[in-house]
Amino acid sequence: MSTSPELLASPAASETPVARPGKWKESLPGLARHGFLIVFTGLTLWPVMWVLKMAFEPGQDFAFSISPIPSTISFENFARLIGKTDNAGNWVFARQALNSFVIALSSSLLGILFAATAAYAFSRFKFPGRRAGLLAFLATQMFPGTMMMIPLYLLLNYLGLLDTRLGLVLVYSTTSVPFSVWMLKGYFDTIPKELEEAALIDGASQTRIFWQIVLPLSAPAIAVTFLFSFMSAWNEYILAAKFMDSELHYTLPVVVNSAIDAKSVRWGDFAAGAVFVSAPIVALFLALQRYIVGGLTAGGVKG
Amino acid sequence: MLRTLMKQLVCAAALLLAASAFAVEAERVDPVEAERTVPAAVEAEKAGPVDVVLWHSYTGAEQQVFEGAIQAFNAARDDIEVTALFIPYTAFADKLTAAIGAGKGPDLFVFAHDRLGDWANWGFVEPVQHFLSTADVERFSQPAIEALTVPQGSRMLYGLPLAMKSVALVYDAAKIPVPPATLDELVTEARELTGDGSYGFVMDWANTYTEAGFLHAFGGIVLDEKGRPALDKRGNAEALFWVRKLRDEGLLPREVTGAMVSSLFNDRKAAMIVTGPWFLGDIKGDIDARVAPLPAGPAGIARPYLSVEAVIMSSRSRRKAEAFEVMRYLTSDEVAVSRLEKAGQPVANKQPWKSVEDQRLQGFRAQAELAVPMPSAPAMRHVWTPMDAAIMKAIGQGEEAESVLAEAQRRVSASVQASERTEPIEVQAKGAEKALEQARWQVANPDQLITDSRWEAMVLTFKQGESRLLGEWCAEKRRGFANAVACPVPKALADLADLATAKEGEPALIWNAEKTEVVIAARATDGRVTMVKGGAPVQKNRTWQLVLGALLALLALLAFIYRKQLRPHLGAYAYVFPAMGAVIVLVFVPFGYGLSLSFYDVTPTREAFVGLTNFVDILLARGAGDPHSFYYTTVVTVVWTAANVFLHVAIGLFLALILQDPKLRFKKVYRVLLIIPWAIPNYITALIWKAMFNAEYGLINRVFSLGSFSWFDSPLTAFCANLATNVWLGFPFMMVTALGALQSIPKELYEAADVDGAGRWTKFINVTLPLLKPAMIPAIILGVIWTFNLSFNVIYLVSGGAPDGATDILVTQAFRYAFEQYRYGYAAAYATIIFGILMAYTMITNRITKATEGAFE
Repeated sequence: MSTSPELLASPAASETPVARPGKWKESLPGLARHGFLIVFTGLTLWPVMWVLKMAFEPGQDFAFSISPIPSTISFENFARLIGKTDNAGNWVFARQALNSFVIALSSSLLGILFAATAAYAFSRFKFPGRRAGLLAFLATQMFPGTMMMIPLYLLLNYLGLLDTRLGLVLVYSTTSVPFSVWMLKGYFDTIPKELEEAALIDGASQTRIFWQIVLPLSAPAIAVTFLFSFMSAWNEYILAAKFMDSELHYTLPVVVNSAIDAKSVRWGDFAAGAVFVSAPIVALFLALQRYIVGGLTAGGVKG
Repeated sequence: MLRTLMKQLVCAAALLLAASAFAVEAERVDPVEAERTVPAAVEAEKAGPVDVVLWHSYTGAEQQVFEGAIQAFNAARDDIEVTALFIPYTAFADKLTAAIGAGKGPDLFVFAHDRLGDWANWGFVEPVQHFLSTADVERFSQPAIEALTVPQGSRMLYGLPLAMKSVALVYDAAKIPVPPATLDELVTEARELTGDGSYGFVMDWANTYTEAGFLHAFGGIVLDEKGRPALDKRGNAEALFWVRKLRDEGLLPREVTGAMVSSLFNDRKAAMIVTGPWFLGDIKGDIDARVAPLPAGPAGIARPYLSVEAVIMSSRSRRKAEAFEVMRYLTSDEVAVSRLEKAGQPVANKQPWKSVEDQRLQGFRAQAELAVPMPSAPAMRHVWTPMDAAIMKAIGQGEEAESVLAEAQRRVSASVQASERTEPIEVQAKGAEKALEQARWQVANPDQLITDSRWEAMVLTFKQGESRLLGEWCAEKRRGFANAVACPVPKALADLADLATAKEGEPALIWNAEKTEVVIAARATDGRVTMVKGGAPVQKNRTWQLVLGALLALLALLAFIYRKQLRPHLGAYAYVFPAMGAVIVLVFVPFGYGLSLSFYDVTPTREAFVGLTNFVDILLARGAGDPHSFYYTTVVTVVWTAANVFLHVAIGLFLALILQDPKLRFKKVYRVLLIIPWAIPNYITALIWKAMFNAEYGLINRVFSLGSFSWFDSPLTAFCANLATNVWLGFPFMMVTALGALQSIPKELYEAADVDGAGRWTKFINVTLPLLKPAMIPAIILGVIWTFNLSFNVIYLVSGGAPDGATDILVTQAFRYAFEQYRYGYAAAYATIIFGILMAYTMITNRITKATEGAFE
């Protein structure tokens, strides 16, 4: 169950002013700063470079050299991963990649839909049970995930949702809902109520206000919430491996973990798979990064 | 105020629990009721080919050959269709246990034999000896068959062997012309060849599995013939002392892993290694590697553990006769030949080996024939961790082997005892009644057999006073009966003898030892005996559902009383309902169920109410200083959490302060690159970090010239390795949070401070920090909860709790109890305590900081 620990995010504030162009001269402390940042970034990326190195070098050994630069470039590991077909001739990789994508996308969209409506109510209405409801959502973060596996299996079995994408989508979206509710509620709190009051006077319904005023204004928060829900669904493998009963239903992280055997890790396969799993998330981070940095957790700060 | 809060909490709890009561009540359908079908239904299904599902975790060449054989079978047979499913090894056993426990899962599966003891005790797997003749059995190597019996050495055979693997001595013939026959010769050779980073002899000594052969060579043993732990046997200490001397002399690397042993050999830096047949495919082509049995020790030959891969039949299969045909086909000599020749699998059949000339394969086979089946007795799963720890202490840390092993023996015995604590369950009157009813029906309809996964029956001609009844029963292999009774219910023979004198038409109940299966025997008037075998009335807890039901009623009552006050808020409830409803069903229900288990003693087949025993055991089990006590682990968890969150915040804030400067160039580039650790799944990076901390080949030791420093030998350094990994994973989040918070600080405040002549430091202390607080504190509170609760992957994959559980945190410990020892109830109690601690923590911090208080307004 990975609502990954880092999932707190931030409604984006406006982008910070960019360095003024044409001013190339940096002061000495500035250079020292760059020196530090370059070394630090280099160290941070080192383990990542290793994954790349093992993915691009042929063979299944762990790379034992210090340099993270591949000594030869080969696409052997990727070819093996992508080209896999099953006995019936199905192109397994394509199906699995599609599964991963469809499942992660639908669970994050569904999760956001659930979370946004609930967060709106928590932010705008006062009703009995409101505080308890918020507490209940917070409390889900305190459940040790490992204890959920067997009960979830039994539950999905009862609901007839084992070995279905829908089952995984429901599980993933609900695990990400509590966090999303808190985050979106925090952001909604910062949207001035006057806008809605004006709309109400103009005769707009509550539903319309929610869809046409609050949601568009919250685009940055929704983008970030989406990113985190997508990421946790996309990366999950323990439940996916347990609930899916056919190779065509597996998701990519299950495939990555297939490289880990009783006795050893087939590092080449593992790294190539890791690259495939990580790349879309990194790309998504890059695409959404201007939203990620911003005024944080309005939920706690409140305005 | 407090009272209203309490009231609201109760309401919320009631709502959640009530919903769970509904969902789970239905999920626990009475197995007897649910599985009861009449033969007609079964017959109707048999239109097309019978589908047999098989699970395996073969990869590479083995997968190709195996699935190829299945395809050939499907092509040749139009009455049976085998569907093979690959399941990753890491998920296999848990998935299988969950599936069979829920009455689902495959008909057949391929797995090593080491968990058979548990599976057989739980009634998960089907004995197959009654399908077989002696000639069938004699096709296989004897140790392989023995490994598949439960208890080992008995006649109860669970599955047919595919391959048998044991470690042996692999040597480089260029350096060792003749393999050593005794351990003394081995040491002599090793001395000659060790030096300059090369070793004469390398083995993964820190591992009970590889060490076993040497234990046996010194007269040691792990489990005695009755399946009880015997770690303190003298030979064990002698064997460990022998290895320790080698390591102290520098003849063995200071830290080893299986992967390292292989690379040393391939780099020609090791002349002899201890490894298994899985290494054959990885040997470099130009090395003249050969395989010999392990050298003999003072107490005789070194018999390593034999691990047998077998096709095993699930007791839940509805196609047992067909499944057996598939099983027999896959283990046939014909298929074995191709498995051996094309995939190099060390098959357990005797015949295919006659034509094999490959010295290496034959070497491994010779060793396997001499090996001891690895014990599958349930006690064995309590042995691995303490024994590995004892080996590490005795060899790696030079402690006295005998006292270390005596301590391990105490630990294992206590752990075995704790898991066997519950008394045998009383026969539930209700379940037994259903069984009797079933038997009466069968007696009344002797020609209609109940053939179903749980209820199986057969009708036999019973000769009065015949004590060999059971044998005959098993010999009965007509197709109609092949799907029937798994005959050997241990207690059955004696009971059947009693039956001979029992009243006609009166059913008798016969239970197997674990009370997971019941046999009903009834003698019909015509002298025939009807046997019905069924799953036991599975004992599952219901009481918690009653509690939930009561809460639901309470909630409904409250809603009714306050209906007038609630009506104006219906709109708000409509907005909250989808999210709350989904979370209740898919998060709270499973978790409520999980928590309720903490009051039970749970195995996959039974739940017995034990009150607060699990909690008392956790809190009182061991002294506070013991690394396995709850208190020690809690302290580790708290220190772990504090250190992580502190470093996350410190590093994140520091970077944010540097990066927030609008004049800094390339800050976007830095920011993007520094976020990357956060974007990559942590199970991937955790494995990479673990490899980086490897003593011999890890980057860390090589970059910092630490020689072969063993990070995972001492609690402190292992903790640091975990910490480095988790800090790396976690700082980007705090950095981003801090960046966001810094941006929201109005510039005017700094300008005002400038006017007052404040220095950088003063500004930081008096302006920046106070204004960061409101944004950072909620992040820190959540960071604490997440680190406490969700840094599972890091601990589990990097240090794995090494050394000996000292770096485990509460969640990893709970996982071990649940999935390594199958003590779900105990693990659930751990989870409950973790939940309680975090709840208390949140309440307290809320009170002090008022951090999330604003959110409730």
